[in-house]
Amino acid sequence: MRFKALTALTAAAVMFSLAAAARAAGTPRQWNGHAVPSSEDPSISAEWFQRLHKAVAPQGELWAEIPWETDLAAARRRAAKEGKPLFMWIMDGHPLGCT
Amino acid sequence: MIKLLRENFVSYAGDQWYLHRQQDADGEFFWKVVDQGHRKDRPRDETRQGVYVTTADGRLLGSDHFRPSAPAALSWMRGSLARFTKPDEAPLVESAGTPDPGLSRVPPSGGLILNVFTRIAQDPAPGQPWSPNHATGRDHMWLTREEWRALRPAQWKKGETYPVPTAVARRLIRFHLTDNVRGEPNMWLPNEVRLADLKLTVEDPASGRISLQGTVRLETTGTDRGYTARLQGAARYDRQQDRFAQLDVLSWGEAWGQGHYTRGAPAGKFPLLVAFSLAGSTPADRVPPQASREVRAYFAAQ
Repeated sequence: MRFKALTALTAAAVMFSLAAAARAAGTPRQWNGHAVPSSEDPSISAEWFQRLHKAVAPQGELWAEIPWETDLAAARRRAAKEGKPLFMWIMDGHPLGCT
Repeated sequence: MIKLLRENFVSYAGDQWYLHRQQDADGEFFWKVVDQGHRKDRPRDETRQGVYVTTADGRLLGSDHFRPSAPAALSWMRGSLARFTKPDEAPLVESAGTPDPGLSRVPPSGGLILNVFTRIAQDPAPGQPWSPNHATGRDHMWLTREEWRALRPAQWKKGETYPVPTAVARRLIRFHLTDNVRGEPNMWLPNEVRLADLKLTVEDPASGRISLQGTVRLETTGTDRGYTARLQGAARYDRQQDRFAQLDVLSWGEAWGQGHYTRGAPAGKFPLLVAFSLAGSTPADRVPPQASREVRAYFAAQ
């Protein structure tokens, strides 16, 4: 009985060690040149956090440089004042928010 | 195309869900324009999404569906512009009047706005064309003045740990930890929040540094959609200015499934990242949260 218990404990310890080793040896998923943690990683280093947080935000999108109006009445007044036509981008979900 | 828009047009972006329903001057103008456009013959309750070029008083110069081809879109824009003739006098544009109170969304007075960006962290395979799964999901999270002030500790004592207030945690989880990269996502129902544990810790009282740690598990009853995530955050509260100078939060983990309007998610489980940070002060930063269409539920998330 004692032998069986010892064997089971040893087997469990070996399996745990193997799993830990595999995890340690495994490389995180890569995305856009960045390592991406999994939900098994409860926390990440401050440097990793900063890099990944920054990478999620869009960078250098040309369409975002357009001075979009989000107030229709204000846009119409500006169009009238500047003598320009009004370009309306209309979506289900706001084009500058969730589309 | 960008140059053409910047130099020759006044550009407006809007959510037709609101415009379609608004009983005010903006709603009237919207219908005046779209009733001349490419969806004018469609049933009234159908979407009118698309691009429109109009004069300030609502004479349509062009309308179209979205065109994936940049040259085709450019040609359409030039054609619309060619139909524009400058009026001898600027047309009278009536004042906005009173906005429809049921559909007016303005950020809470003294409140705080966070930008929310979402990405599926999968690079395209070699030779694979761009797909909406490579897009960036965007949204904003609104906090009232009372809510953001409640993120501060009761005592500025190093190591002091306290929970994120329930209303803020629930709003963040149910309405902002969503896969919205392909469009309008399903929001999480209260009973789909299986685990929610968000805590704040005072890291450095002198500099006002606070960290956030969290674990969240979301899953639909049918298990067809879910997100298992960890959250981490770095905040700095300026005690002299009485404001947050930094409020960065990152969520990572595995998502699966797709929503009613967001078909085409990657198969199986996929890595989903959601980043929150303080918004700026442009009109785009004031675009309301997607979930605030149901504004009472948004601010009273359970």
